[in-house]
Amino acid sequence: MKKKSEKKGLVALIGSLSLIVILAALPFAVAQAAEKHETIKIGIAQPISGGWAAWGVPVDRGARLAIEDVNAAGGIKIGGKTYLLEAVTEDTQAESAIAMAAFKKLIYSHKVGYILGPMSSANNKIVQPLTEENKVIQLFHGSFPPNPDDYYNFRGTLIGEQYAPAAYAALMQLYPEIKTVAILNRDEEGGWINQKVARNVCKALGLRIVADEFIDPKEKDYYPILTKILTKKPDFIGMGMIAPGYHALLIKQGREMGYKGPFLAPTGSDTAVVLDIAGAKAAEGLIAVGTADYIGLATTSLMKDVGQRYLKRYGTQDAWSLEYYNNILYIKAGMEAADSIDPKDVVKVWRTPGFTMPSVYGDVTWVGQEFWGINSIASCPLPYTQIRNGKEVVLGVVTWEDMKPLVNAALGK
Amino acid sequence: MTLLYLQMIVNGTMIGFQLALFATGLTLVYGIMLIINFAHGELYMLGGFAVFLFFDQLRLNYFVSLALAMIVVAIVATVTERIFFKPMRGQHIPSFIMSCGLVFVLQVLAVLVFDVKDKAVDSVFPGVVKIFGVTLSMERLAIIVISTVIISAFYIFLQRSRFGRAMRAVMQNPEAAALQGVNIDQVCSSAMGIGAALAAAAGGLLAPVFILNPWIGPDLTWEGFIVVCLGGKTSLPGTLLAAFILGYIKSFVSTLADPMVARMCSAAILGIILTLRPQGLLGHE
Amino acid sequence: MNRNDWLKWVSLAAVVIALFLIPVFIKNPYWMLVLTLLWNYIIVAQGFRYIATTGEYSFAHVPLMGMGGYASALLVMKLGMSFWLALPLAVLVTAIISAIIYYPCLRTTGTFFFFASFAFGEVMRLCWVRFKNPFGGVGGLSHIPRPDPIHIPGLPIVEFTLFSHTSYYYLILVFMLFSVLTMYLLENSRLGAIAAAIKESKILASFVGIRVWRYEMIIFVIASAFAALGGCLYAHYMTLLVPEEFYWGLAIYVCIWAVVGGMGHFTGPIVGTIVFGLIKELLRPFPQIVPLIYGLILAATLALLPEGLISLPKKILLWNKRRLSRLRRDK
Repeated sequence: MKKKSEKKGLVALIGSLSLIVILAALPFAVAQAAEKHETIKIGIAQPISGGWAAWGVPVDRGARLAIEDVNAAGGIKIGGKTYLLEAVTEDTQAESAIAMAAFKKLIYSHKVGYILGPMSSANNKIVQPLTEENKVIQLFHGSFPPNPDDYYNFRGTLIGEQYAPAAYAALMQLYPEIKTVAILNRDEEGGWINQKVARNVCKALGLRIVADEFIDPKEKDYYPILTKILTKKPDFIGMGMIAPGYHALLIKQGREMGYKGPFLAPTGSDTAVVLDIAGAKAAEGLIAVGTADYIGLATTSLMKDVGQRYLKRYGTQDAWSLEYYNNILYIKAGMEAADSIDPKDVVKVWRTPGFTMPSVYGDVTWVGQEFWGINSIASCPLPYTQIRNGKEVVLGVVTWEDMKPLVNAALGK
Repeated sequence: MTLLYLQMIVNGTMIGFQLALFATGLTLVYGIMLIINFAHGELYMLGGFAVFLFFDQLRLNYFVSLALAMIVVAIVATVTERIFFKPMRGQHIPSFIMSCGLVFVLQVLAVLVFDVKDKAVDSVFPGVVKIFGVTLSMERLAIIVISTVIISAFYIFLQRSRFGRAMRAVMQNPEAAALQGVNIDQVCSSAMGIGAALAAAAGGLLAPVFILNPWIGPDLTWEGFIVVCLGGKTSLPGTLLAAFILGYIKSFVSTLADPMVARMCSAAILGIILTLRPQGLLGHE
Repeated sequence: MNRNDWLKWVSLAAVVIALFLIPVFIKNPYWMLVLTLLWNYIIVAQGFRYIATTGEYSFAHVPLMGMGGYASALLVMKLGMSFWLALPLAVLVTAIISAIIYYPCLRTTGTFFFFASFAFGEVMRLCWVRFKNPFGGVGGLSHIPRPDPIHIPGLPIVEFTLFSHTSYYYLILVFMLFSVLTMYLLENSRLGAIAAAIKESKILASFVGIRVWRYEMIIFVIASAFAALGGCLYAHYMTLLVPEEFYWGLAIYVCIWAVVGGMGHFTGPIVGTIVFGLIKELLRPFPQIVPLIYGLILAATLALLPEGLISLPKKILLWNKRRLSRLRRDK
């Protein structure tokens, strides 16, 4: 009896240890196999597991689709040679130590020159000096503005300070009688920046802020906070940096509590998710900037085409996915114009005045000099939409030129 | 002003019912098996996803989906208990650590099957009702009614049935119960199954109200443990009492101050209760 | 010294020398980061085990690591102190705070202690979130200054920049060896004997005249000092402190590393931390299933090797002995 159980236990142990050894050896085996073509590795440093995965996985998907498309179209031709792109994803879990390890592995082990990431601004603070010093281009969509000294740090789409005022201005146009506002934001770094922007914009537009609150990112029961806000009777509620699933809950619960005014999602929404969770009636009137329905609300034929391929490949549309498709297009455009795969040359080309690159939103350039001292933001014209009768309707497209006059308001000047 | 207070009371009551259903299962598992199951929140999460699968995807009747979810999760939990927790009965720390491993496993399985994005379940009881100017959504009202039914049914089972008596006996004194001929293994597995079913019911009931993703478990487990310790680790009435106390505190403090202070209060209450009155409000030594 | 002891000393010396020689052979900054963080976490995991020598499992340990980091960072950032002065001060401050946290917990034991320590640790952690001034709230403290360079006459200046991989490696390695050695000596001293007595039975210990509360408090505070040390080093290495990172996630990981490594043996936590740390890095190509592997290893170890991975060689030897004796018998 004893012998049998001992043996079983030992066999199980040896089995699991072998499994570990095999798993450990796998990465090395995989690494060997990949050295066949002349490839350029593009690093993707995003949260793929853990609580932030819902944000990081669409990024990974969008970028990989772009890389597949570029390779399928023949790759990138530089100096008579053809290069294929290869995606290397490292998980950051949006945690400092893991993100640092991810960036270091990408830079020193995989030797990438381009990294799409990180997802959180806190992570960026510690990895940015690393990429800057190693002359590795960083591309991501963050809510915080670039630093004039960060030569290699780029934003693939407009930042909150640029498009939030446009959303508020659109709101004022549709509802000119609005006077008071309640602003809600995620209680974390990105949310605080966005809240400051919202406060500045409301002040500039002459709106009175009656409630100014932060929400726990994981909270799903908004009755207590809505109870607090609705006693002040705001004419509309502005939500920023709150994930679509969660702001859908805010909308649903707000309607249940009797709030009848409009909602604003100036940092983007995902209409499919909102309609699914809140229902068409509750979601009526939601104004958002940007869209997740790249197919239905395509502003260019490229967007529709890519959107459809994304849907076919992954079975769903994700907000903020095609923005990372764009990032790969920017890299390709930069490499081709510089006739080099070296990030140093690509950055130089990018920063030449008047350089335009393709994106699913149309041709864009790097902007931002007059406000932040450096041109590091891609000027994607974003649509702003409203939900009417259960359908998302495009109200207009805001271009960088349209936004410029309002940015000073957002910055509190 | 009175409207504000009435609404806060209503909010607190709703939170209380959610916690009561969830925490009752936790108390049962602890009281009978003397293990700490940190994966209880994952059972709640799986219950929610099961209802998503049956009701939202397969279009079965909501109540049928709820019942199926309870059964499926109960089976999963019972099997897990037999394999993983059986040797750990009575040992708090090893069972806690084992359950942490289970948390990881279940979260990853949920991600592999259901993907990382937030999922929604259609509302079953749409609409609101206003009493004296205070809002109560129909679905939360329905949850209050259904969870009352489930908890009452469970209590009746516990008090009136033979097996329920056996469970109570094991909770009071396992050795004496064994001497009386009670099959401890059977009782333990059933406790796990019933506890899991209650957690799954909470998950399934709340799925249409909130959203689902694989990571909603741990925060709720933490609150569940606060409730269990506050009420008295082996006292089921204590759990109910504590659930409502915590619910009201959360509601009032969140609205009058802010949610972060409410979390600090919950943590502080746990610490104070454990150091000053370890047996909880209604527990015995 | 008999042959066994001599072998033990030689192998220990060999291991330490190997650790110091690693940067000579491994230059990749990524692996340097991984190893440096391992040494950092070992300080904390060993401290966790030190508390467990009294029989208690503390979940305030990891929040106190964070407290050490915050204290050191604030001393440097707000009071302009040098890192080398802030380090011992932060350890001292955190030790005092730990005394306040553990004092009410002394009345509890076992699971009660476990949850109570978690509760008070969480209240402390939530203070970092709630009070943006001075703790920085959810965003935490960023741009934490790095340690000042060390000037030893006759030797080149030792700098601590983002790229001083070897400086940080040796800094944290030295502190790790110091911590491990100190805790080893403490455990084998009279204090360690008292802890073992308390673990065996608090009641019996008090009958023998041991003032249980007093000695528990001493041990908890010492362990917290090491947690704080780990936190200070972490803060000035990462240059960023975020409250979320000292939540139950890391607390459970430290517990898992220590327990799976083997709490019974002194080097258990070291083995656990290294094994799990390496697995996590080696499984980078499969990010989604890393938690699954963690969970399976955890379950397998608890079920099959309850004394932890450290008992594996012993078990293999035992199995081999039994096999040999069976063969001899059958002959």
